Amino acid sequence: MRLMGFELKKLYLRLPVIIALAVFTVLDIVKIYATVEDVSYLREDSVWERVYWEQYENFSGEITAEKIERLLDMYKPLEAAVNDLTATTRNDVEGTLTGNVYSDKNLLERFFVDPMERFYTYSGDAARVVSAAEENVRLYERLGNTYEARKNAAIARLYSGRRVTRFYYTEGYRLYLNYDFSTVLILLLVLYPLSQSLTRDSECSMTELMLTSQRGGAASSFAKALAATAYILTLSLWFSAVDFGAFAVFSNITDAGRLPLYAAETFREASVGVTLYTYCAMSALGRALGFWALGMVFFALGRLGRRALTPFAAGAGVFVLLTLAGVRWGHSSNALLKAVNPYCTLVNRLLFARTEFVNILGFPVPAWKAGFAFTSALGASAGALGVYLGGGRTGGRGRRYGAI
Amino acid sequence: MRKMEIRFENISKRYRRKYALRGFSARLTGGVYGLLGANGAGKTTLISVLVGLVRADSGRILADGTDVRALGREFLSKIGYLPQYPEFYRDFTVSELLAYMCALKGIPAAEGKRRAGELLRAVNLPETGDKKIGALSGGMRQRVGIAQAMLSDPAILILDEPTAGLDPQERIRFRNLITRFSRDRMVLLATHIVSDVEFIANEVMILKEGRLVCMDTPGELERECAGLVWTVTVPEGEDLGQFDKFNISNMQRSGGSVTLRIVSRGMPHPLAVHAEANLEDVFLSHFGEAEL
Repeated sequence: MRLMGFELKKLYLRLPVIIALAVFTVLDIVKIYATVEDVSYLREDSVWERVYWEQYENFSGEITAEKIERLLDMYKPLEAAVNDLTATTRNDVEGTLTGNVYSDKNLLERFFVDPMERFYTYSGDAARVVSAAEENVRLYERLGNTYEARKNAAIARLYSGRRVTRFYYTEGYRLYLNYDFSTVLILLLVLYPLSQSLTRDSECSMTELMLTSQRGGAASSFAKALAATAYILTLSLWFSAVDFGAFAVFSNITDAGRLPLYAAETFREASVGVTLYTYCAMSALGRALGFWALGMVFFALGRLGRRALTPFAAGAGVFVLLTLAGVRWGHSSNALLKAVNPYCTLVNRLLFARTEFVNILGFPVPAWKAGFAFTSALGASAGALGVYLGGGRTGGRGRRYGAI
Repeated sequence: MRKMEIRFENISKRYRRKYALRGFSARLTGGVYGLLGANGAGKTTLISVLVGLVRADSGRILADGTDVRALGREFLSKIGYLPQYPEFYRDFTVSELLAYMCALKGIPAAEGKRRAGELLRAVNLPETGDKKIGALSGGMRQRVGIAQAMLSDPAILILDEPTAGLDPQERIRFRNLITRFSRDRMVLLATHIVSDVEFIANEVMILKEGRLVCMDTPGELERECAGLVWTVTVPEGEDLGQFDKFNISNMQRSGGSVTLRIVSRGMPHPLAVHAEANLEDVFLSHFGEAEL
């Protein structure tokens, strides 16, 4: 632990890193504010924003027949007027919510009618998935295809009982669940100090002292890996907390937190039946895991060069390749290609948004679990390799006494 | 503390085609050993092989009869090492650096703190614990380096150019410190500055082009050099170019005349008289540019 503390101080608890962290945190918050303001229809101080939150008071909470009826009583006349082209285009129509009939219709449709309909009909859609999956189980059992039978049984179990009974504002989650800017910031904050994990020692002639000390080999290298792990996990979770906090402040994502994940528009086929709050935590942990694995790869690469540039360039190169692969195959139906790419654990909506399985020894393993397991294995292997390489070598010149 | 015996057996190390060490053999038992040689003579390579940073192409090193490679980390626990021109982490304070070195050497924190305090006083840096390494002068940093090498109270202290950057007062302090420390221990001190070892070394090893050319006490080496050292005093106006073919260890102007100290087998000048040899003369007899 003492060595780990010193390694933390050497590489991460340094003024340049702390300043970069502070600046990037501010940048992240500004970016989230800009995203909400640019992309959301409910911009601060806009008419829609005012009207939306007024009506939200009336319709949020448990979805009841009375609320649906009341909503449709408001919406249907507007829809009819717009559809038969009798609606006026004036912006000061009395008795409207926003002053314009088209605007009223669009606002109600986008933010109340469509989502509430989606929530209301979800249980029926899920029941149909369960029914089809159960039918498939029987079919595949007859055909002797054990894997497909198991997979469909898993789907039936996952979708069984799915329903959305409450209505809350989910626009903020649409933005939050697709927000990746902080991932880039974390990457920069991980890559720079980690690529220096060995080179910093050699640049100030400390390698010789470390390798001629009893605990300067494997123990020191292990302490470096632990310090990197602590730094990466803290950093990643910090930015996840900042993201969540900023979206909560700028786009009210707290109300819908107890809704199931599949209530979010792009997660209708979600591979987990958890609440949005739980998913946020799982996603944050997944991103931390992905960064840890990449960090361990950078850590191992850091053992290859005596100057910081080599591992920095190699680490950046690896990340670019993984990102390109993730962009290319992230939305494909080949779950294995996603599971084996740590990029998909970083941007883990690629693993969670759809119910997909990876065939492992004839058993259907949810893609997100396979992805998390593979990423963990990659991180552990790279970390072990980094510890091994760093434990006994002296920048390629020789080998210390009693290494590893 | 029981003295260790270190035996080098036929150590050779080659970088590409050039030998850095060639068949180096020596037996070290205790006290201060001065490892003298010109730049590039193989001193740092020898030390690097001893501390395990460089693998020798051939030969072995025995500590009390056991190959140091077999001893592994146990051997590391017995050595304190100061590499050439250490820079350390500039953003660490002196105390933090010494605490870190204690952690690396497996010294418990409380004991390390006490020991660091003692050593900082010993190297005349008692008030610098809170200073950043980056704020220290070269000489102060070197003294911190000496302190870190002695943290574990090692049986063998290995110092590579330890006096680089030290002022004359610091050098004297350093020599006294080493002399005090060397009781019941072994100190191997590599340098090309003869005065570093002249007064404190029990034995001197002179390395030339990777070979051990001689190893003995300073007195014995000086005796071997007897008859080779001359002094000659000539008038100021005399052509000094006539002495260019000799190894001149010193030249001093005084009262209209110039006194030269020359290392040569033959009499360099009719007025030359024999002088008592010192270690610098011995060094020059091996490394001088002119033929003896």
